Amino acid sequence: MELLAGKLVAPSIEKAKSLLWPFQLVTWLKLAMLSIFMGGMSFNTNFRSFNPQNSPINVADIIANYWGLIIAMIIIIALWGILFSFLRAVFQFCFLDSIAAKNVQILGYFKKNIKKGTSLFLLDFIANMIIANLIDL
Amino acid sequence: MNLFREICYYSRTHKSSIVKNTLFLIVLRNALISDILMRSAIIFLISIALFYSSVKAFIINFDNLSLDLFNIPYIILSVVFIVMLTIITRIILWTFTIYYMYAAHKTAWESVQKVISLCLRQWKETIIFLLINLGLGIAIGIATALAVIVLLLALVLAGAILFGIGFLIYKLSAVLFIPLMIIGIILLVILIAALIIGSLMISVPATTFFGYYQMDFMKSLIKKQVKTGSKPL
Repeated sequence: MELLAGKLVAPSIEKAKSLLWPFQLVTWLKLAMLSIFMGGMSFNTNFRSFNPQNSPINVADIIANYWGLIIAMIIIIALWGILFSFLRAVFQFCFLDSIAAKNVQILGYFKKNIKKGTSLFLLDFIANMIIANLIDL
Repeated sequence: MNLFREICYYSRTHKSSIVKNTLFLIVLRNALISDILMRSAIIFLISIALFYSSVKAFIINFDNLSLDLFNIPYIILSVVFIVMLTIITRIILWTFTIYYMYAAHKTAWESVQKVISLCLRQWKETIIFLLINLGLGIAIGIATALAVIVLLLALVLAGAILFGIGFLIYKLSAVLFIPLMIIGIILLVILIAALIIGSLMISVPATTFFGYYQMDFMKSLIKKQVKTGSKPL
């Protein structure tokens, strides 16, 4: 039986080599920039519930005094996370376009991939919400 | 409309027994979709069942918590289950679906459904692919980490030499402390930027390789599926 997974390792190394060698600083820097958005900056939508009355610190007082600031911070963090999740989804496709065309661009493929990225982002967001709710149950 | 397309497709490819094959494949398709929905529902219900007793005990005895209230092996099992669910979701979305979306130009939801059925049908290929991915990921991860450590050591050494030179200049000549401090801060920022950019560039070959590998695997899987003619894409 022919196994695809094993057969594809060597051709993939060759393709990566042909894109990255001879060394071109601009190409490497662009790929490094794309990888910033593609990895690491994930968003965890897990806001844990708590009971202010039973907490040793008087959380109710803190919330009463700084509620505006707390809400603003939560909104900013949530929006920041959502924005990066969205960018991560779109840049994944930008990266694939870049390596497939062997023409690395950071923003060149952005517009083209907004629809696909949005679709992936929404599905990932829903999946994260379901898992977060399971953890909070 | 999809049903009509499928009937046309199978009518073309299975001329010997059109009706039998068409009906069989429609049933298979519906069964697979129901299967995905059923599996999701089962996972959801099991999760609720797993956590229900622990959460109930936690809420009722919130003021007087002790470990005796909880069934620890049960909680560990539940955590393992949730972690597995998270890993499976991440793999389906970020290792398969994204490449299927790219190759087949479909939406994420359509792609997830297709990817699950594709992976279930070609489960041997999928498992071997995941194992190779894991093995290569560990090997490349270790190599990348070592390279980043070497870079970090080189930059620390460069920083130490620069600091030594600055310190000597300050001690041996009448240069003011504040300008030296400003130059030091600028050099520190440059070294930190070099570390960040260097670390990112070290990971570029691995990212590129995995991009090609995962994309080629998904394309080959789709081609193989089309060749066997079991379902149109």
